[in-house]
Parts: sequence; structure tokens; C-alpha cells
Amino acid sequence: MNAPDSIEGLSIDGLSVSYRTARGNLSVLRDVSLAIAPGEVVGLVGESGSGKSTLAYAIVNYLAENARVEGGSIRFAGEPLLGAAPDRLAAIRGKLVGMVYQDPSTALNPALRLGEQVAEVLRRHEGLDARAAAARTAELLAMVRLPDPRFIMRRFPHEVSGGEKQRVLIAMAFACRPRLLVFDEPTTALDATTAASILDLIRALQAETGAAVLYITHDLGIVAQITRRIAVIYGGAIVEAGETARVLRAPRHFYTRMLLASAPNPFSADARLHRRLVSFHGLPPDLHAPPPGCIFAARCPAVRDACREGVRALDGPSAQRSACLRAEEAAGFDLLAAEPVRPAIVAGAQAAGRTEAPLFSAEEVRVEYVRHPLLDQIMRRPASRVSAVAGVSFALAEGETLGLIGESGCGKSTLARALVGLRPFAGRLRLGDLAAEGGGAFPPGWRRAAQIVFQHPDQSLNPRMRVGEIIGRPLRLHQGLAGAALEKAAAGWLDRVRLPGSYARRFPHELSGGEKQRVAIARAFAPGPRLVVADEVTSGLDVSVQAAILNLLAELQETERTAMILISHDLNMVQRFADRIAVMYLGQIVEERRVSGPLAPPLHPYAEALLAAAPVPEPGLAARRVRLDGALPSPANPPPGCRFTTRCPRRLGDVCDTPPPWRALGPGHRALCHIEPAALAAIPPIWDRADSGSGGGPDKEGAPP
Amino acid sequence: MSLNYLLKRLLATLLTLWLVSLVVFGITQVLPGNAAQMILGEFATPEALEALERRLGLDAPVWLQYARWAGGILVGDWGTSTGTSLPVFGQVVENLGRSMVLAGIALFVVTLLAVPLGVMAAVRRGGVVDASVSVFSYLGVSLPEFVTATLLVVFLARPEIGLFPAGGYAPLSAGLWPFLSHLILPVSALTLILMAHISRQTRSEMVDVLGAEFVRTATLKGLSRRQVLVKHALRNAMLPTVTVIALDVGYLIGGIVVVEEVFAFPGLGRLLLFAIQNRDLPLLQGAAVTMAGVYALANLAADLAYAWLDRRIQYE
Repeated sequence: MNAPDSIEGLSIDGLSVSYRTARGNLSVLRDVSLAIAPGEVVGLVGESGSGKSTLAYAIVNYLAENARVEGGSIRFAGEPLLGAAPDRLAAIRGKLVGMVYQDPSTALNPALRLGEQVAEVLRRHEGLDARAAAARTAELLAMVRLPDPRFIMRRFPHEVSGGEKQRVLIAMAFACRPRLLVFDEPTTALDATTAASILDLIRALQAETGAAVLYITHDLGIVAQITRRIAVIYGGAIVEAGETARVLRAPRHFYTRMLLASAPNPFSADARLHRRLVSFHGLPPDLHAPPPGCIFAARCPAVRDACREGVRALDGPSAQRSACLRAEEAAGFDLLAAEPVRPAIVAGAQAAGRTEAPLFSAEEVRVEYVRHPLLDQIMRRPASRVSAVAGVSFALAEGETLGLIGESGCGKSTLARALVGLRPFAGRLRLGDLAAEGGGAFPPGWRRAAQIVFQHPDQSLNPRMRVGEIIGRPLRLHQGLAGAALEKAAAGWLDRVRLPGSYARRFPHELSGGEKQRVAIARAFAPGPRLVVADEVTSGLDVSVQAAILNLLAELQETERTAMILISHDLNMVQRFADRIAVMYLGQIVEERRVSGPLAPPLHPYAEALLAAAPVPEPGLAARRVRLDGALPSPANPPPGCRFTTRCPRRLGDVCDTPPPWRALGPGHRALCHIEPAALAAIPPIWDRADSGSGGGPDKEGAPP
Repeated sequence: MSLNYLLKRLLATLLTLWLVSLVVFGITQVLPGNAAQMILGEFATPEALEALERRLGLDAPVWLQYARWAGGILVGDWGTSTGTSLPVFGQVVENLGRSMVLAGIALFVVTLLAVPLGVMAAVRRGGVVDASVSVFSYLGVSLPEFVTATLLVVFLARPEIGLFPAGGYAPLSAGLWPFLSHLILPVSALTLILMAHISRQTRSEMVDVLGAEFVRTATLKGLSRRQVLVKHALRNAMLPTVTVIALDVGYLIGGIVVVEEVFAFPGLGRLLLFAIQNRDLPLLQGAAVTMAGVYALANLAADLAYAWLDRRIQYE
């Protein structure tokens, strides 16, 4: 990025960093150059292991003990930062350079009040006394739109929500009016609607202060929203850099192109991609011995011999530079030609007018968490009941996928556990000819017929069992296999989830995150279930790994004709992979609908807010601003009428304090809302072509019918 | 800290104490011979024994004996020592007081030394301090108390050196130096033993906390190294350490029988030993119940201190 070689901003030149490890030198950054002018927001996009965090922390000289800077320089306003004296460094950190971190729940000191954690920065760098620092802290907390700053100042981190914590950290970062801010995935750990407000805040504060910003993320949707220029980093090298809109619209490097194609984008028009994403083959490069030539060559669908030679450096006009030998072809290359994509099975459950009896049904399912402390028992006070799932009903046909969407605390995971028999519930469940009553025992066979894949394979796979045993156990238990037949069946399942047979003898810790999740999927499908619940199965995975996992799930489900509940907070993903969507809020389903293409009104007001908060990696698409105020009410004491009413931007009035009716909005489409269907249909579209200026969302243009 | 938590811990402690009283009483029941036999000696006539048993209430059913004994413990009537003919309660309280002086000073010294050493070891992992703290503290735990204590006596309290008295106790009223000189050796022995506990604990907690993200936040705020270490890291690292220290109070008061014996320190441990050697059942019961009580209360204090310091602990 040969941005103005400004003496003012940040310039990183030819930076190379390596870690000394037991296996030798790990070359995490190689010849990285990046410049950020004052007032500019630059995005750094990469997956885990790409070196993006090392780059961020190198700016403030905060590298691991085993890190060594092999070469290059980092200068801010002309002053070299690498190797600055400790005193100077302490004066730069927090004063000239502010940082905001990925996980606000671990970035704040649990033992100190929030006010003190902000005030100490002011006392340190601005020379304020305790009183002045407290007053300024209150101003800063008001600046990050925290209501009642004095109250927040006295709280400990665990007493406020994740979004509030992140606001405090942002206040801290902006406290001394820094000239450079580094944001390290600041919204990744937050819920979508919270993340959207935090992004608004970052944008507003940046514009107000004119600070230079380095925004690190793996999310192409976010960079599309907030940056003007981006750099894409892979395997420790920047492979493409330039203006955000250009890079996203017509990438000039195959890694960027594939990253875009593997992210679930509801606006992607390629019909061949129904329920499939372009996925990466092979593994990221071993940086102990980086290959010569292009760092992406081993996984590139368009690789040529010449790509594996020499050193590939960024090349081209400053608006869009690429390290790719075939930069011209990247945008137009047919990735699917190289992808074994079979004709989409669009028929199936999605076909409209399907009338046959559902395979699975849940009626009025309720799950309560009851707590009855000793003191309350002695005082004869009633137990406190938190209703995590408050009367949920839905049905699923064979081979159908229901996307269950909602933010943390909405009860989606609790519901999942109840469905597979891991939590007591009230209500009725039916699966094929099995029926389960709440409070009663599950019928024999239920646990075989209803399987679950959990979010964290690290925690859901027994670390002391070999992969072969993990997959073999349900086969032995439910299908009575033993000996050679068992081994053969387990090996067959490894093959179906595209893992080599030799993995049967490995332990989970010898596998990567994506491989572990494949094992968990094989374990779930092995006993021949009729319903599989996939609970946030790709949340912990990189975009490139996520695509392959989702493809695999869809493929297994289609061949096995399994009904699937795909639980996620990622609306983009669910729009691509589900036949129907159910939106949950505070223990209830508030909207249920079929999916065909990007969602469009009529919408439940909560679904509207969720949709507006989901960043889409589509350049030129701008979301209408819909933001939720206030906090999620406690499920122990939900609002008496409509549960969403306390935060609803479309609240009608007192009628909303009474339970809302189900409104029919179309075939298979209903919402739990007081607003008239006609009014819900009149909600303007969420997405708009910002550049074309014309009305009419893409829901009218590019979506498949 | 919630009232519920307090109540739960308190009830658990009371339950522990009750079970302890059952065990202590039970042991004295199954021991051969009873108090009457102890008092009258081997050659007592059966008639005299029977008369004394009746007078002492030893002919009553076991549950009634337990109720009388436990009731006495509650109101401060702990019986009379068969060995010294003095009330057990007074003796236990007096010796407990001395043990507490010893334990208090030892704990103070240990904390003062071990916490900074643990911090230094954690900050410069693999450095000289880290290595010597490791070696020194492993030496401390692996040498039995009687070895450490005896070595101290041999090297520092020999008559030809005569730096300190080899044993005994002098009250503060006898003057500051006599008081201290009797304490220095036992305190040193206990310090050596406990050093390992607390310095290793501090070190490992500190290593964890130094890797925590909020320490990174503090560093990247531009705070001084000292502020980062003391205000941000140590405060969090001390939480579990406080528990260990509180538990060591229990050890110091009840478990230092050997050290008290080597230095002839008239504390609770020595009293217990005396009671055992003399088959002094009332004294044995009293001393044992007291020790168990101190342990249980130290545990309770540890839990409460932890819950008070770490405000995230609300339930369980």
C-alpha cells in the first residue's frame, strides 16, 4: 500500500517477525508494508494464523517473548516505534496509540471498578488528579453512549453486559485522544445487534477525532462497512491491498476471491451454489518453512508452475495492488469448475405446497431453570424460576433444515438440549413414531434418532478416546456392531466426512478445529439419526474452514434425508443453508418463514433489527439503520405482554403490553406481533444499493426465485 | 457475597464440628479403659472402680454420656484433666493462646517473604530468583519438620553458640528479648516449611495472571511495570493465595505438634501430645476438639475471604 508516505501517520515498512519454537523458526510476518494516513480507516483482513494480530501488537512493541523482529521498521509520525526505550514506549501506549480488543470480558481487570480502569489512564498520561480524572471518566463514558456514567464507574466488569464492557474499553482507548487506534476484532465476541451499535460508535468517534485506525477482522462484511482501504493477509504476507470497494468487487488475488466466495453471502446469485459454499482445499502453509513463490500456491485453484518460484510482492496501481501472478483472472475465474459441486437438490422439502405429515414436531416446549437457595427455603420464599424457553412450537419434514436464529440468551441452545433429551422440559415432542412428553422419560430409541453436534468440538469430544472409538461408540451402542464390522463402519464414516482412515487411531488433540468438528459430525450421523441439531457448529472456525463444514453437513443431510435444526447467530449463513427460518427472542419464536434468497419484508421488528445488523460482504450494499435500545430483559422477569416490546422500535402503544397474536404474513410465514400484516409488509427493504442510488433492494434484482 | 453463601458455609462448618465431636468422643469410647481406670490406676478394686464410674456418670448409656460431654463443651465445662487435676478448658485456652502467637508471627514472616519471592519468580521465570525459590522451597517441603527443627537447634542453639534458648517459652511480660528469643527458632522452622506453599502458590497464580488479557490491557495503557504488576496482576493473583494462607492457619495451630515438641514450646500441639502420653482422656478430647475447631474455622475464613475478595463468586 503506497499511501502517501506521510510523516504524519503510521508506516510499516518491510516488517518481518518470527517466533522461535521447538520446531525451529516460525516465520509469522514476511516483508509486510502498510501505511495509514491520519484520519484514515484501514482494514486488515485475515484468518487465524495469518499474522494479523502479530502485526497489530508489533505496532505497540507488545510481542511474545519468543518473537524476534527480523527486519523492517514501524514509524509513527516519523518516530521509530520498534525498539523504542521502555519509558518512551510507556508514554506512547495508551497516549498516542489506543487499542481495543476482541473479548471485552477478559480484557478488563475483574478486580477493579470500571471507573478506576479508565481513570488510571488519564492520571498516567494527562496528569490529572483523582478528582479531575473521575470527572473526565464520566464524560468519556457518556461519549461512548453509556447511560448513567457515574453508576457504571462504580460497577465491576462482571456486573455489566458485554456490549457495555466494550464501550468502556473504547472509552479507555479514546481517553487521551490518541492519533492511532488499533481495533483487534472488537465486535467478534458480541451479539449482532450489539456489534452493530459498537460499529456505529467506532465510526462516529473516528470521524469526530480524526484518528488513524487499523481495523483487524476476519469479517469481510464489516470491512465493507467501515473501511475505505483494506489489506488482505495470508500466511504472514499481504497478498492484496487497495480500496475496499474495488477489492471486494473485483479481487485481484485468488485468496481474496476464495475468501469472498466461501463467506455465506445471501446475495450471491450463483444458483449452482444452493446450500454449497466454495471451500478451500488443503491446509494453510507451514510457516516453519514457507514455500517459495506465492504463499497461497498450494491451495490455489489456478496455480501454475511459475507461481511456486521466486518472491511474489505486491504489484500494480496503488488503488489495488496484488501479489498474484494471474491477478487479472482472479475476479472472473470460475471457482466452481474446480469444485466438485453436484447439481443442487433444490426440490426436496423446500418445494412449496408440501403437505405430508411432518417428521418432527415440538409443541409448546418450555424449559425452566429453577433455583431455590437455602435461605429462601428456610424463609419459605418461592423458588426463582427462569423460563429459558417459553412455549415453542414448530415442525420439520424429512430432509428439511430449520435455521434457528437468535442472540445469546434467547434460549436457542437450551431448546436444542431439550430436544435431544439433555434437559428436562414441559410440552410434547414427536419424532417419527416416537413421542416424548415433558416430565416423562424419553422413549427408547430417542437418543439414537435425535443427535446433536455441539459448538466446541474441543469440549464435546472425549480427549482420552481415539477418534475411532468416538465414532465407533454410537455404532456399537445403537447398531450392535462389534469387532471388524465396527472398525469398518467407523472407517466408512471417517471417509464420508473426508478424513483419512489413519485418523481412527488419533486423539482429538492431534486434529485441527475443523477436523475435530468433522469427527463430531460423523459421531452424530453414525447411528442413523432422523433429526440432527447443529448448535453453532461453525462459530469457532475460520471462514475457509466453515465453508467446508457447512458443505459437509448439507451433503450428509441430503443423502441421509435427515431433518436438521441449524442453530446459529449468523443470519447470512442461515439464509444460505436453511429451508425455513425461525427467529427466537427471549425464549419465544417470534417469526417463522420459508427462505428463498435474501430475507425481505414483511418482517417481525426484531428480525428487521437482526437483519439490519448483519454485515454482508457485498460492496455497495448499505443497510438501513435499525438499532435496538436498552438491554435484553431478564428471562426471570420478562415483559408481561409482547416480550420484545421494551426494545421494539415499532412499538404501537399499550396494546403491546398484552400478549401478541400470530399474524399470517404469507404461505408458511407468520410473526408474533401486534402490528397488522399490511403494516409489517410495508416495512421498507433493509438493503439498498448505496452506489446506484435507486430504490428497490437486491431482493427484487439478483435473488434466485 | 450473598447471605445465602454465608449461611451455607456456616451450616457446613457447624456440621463439620458436630461430626468431629462424634469422632473424638467415639475414639475415647473405643480406647481400652476409661477415665475411672485412668484415675484409680491398674490395681483399683472393682468396687472402687464401679463407685467412681457411677460418680463420673460412666455407667450411663453412651448417648447420654455424649450429650453430657458435648453440652459441657458448649458451656465451657470441659472436665478436669486426670493428669494435672486442673480444668481442661483453662489449659487448652492458655496453650492455644501461645500457639496463636507462634502461628501469627510465623504466618506474618512467611507472607512477607514468600509473596514477593513468588512474584519475583513469576516475573523472571527461569531466572536466578525463580530457581532458588524453587530449590529452597522444595527443600522446605521435602525435609520433615523434625529434621528442620533439629538442625536449627543443633546449629543455632548449641550451648557453645548459645544464640537462642533451645526451647521453652517466655511471656511478653518477661521482656521483649526473652519473648522473641524463644520464638525465633520455632518461627524459622515453620517459615521454612510454609515458604514452599505460599511462594509456589503465588508464583503459579502470578504466572497465570501475567498471561491474562487484562494484564495486556494494563500494559498497553502505558502504565508503569510496577503498576501493572502490583495493581493489576498481584491483586488477582492474591485471591487463591489468600485461601492457602488461611488454610495454613489451621496447620499452624493444630498441625505443628512436632515443631512444638522439638522446641519444648508449650502450645496446643504439645498439650495434645502430653494428653496422649498420659492417657488423659478429658484433656485429649478438649485439645482434639479445639484443633479440629480451629481447622474448620480457618477453612470457613478462607472461603469467606475468597468470596469477599472475588466478587464474582456468588453461589456455590
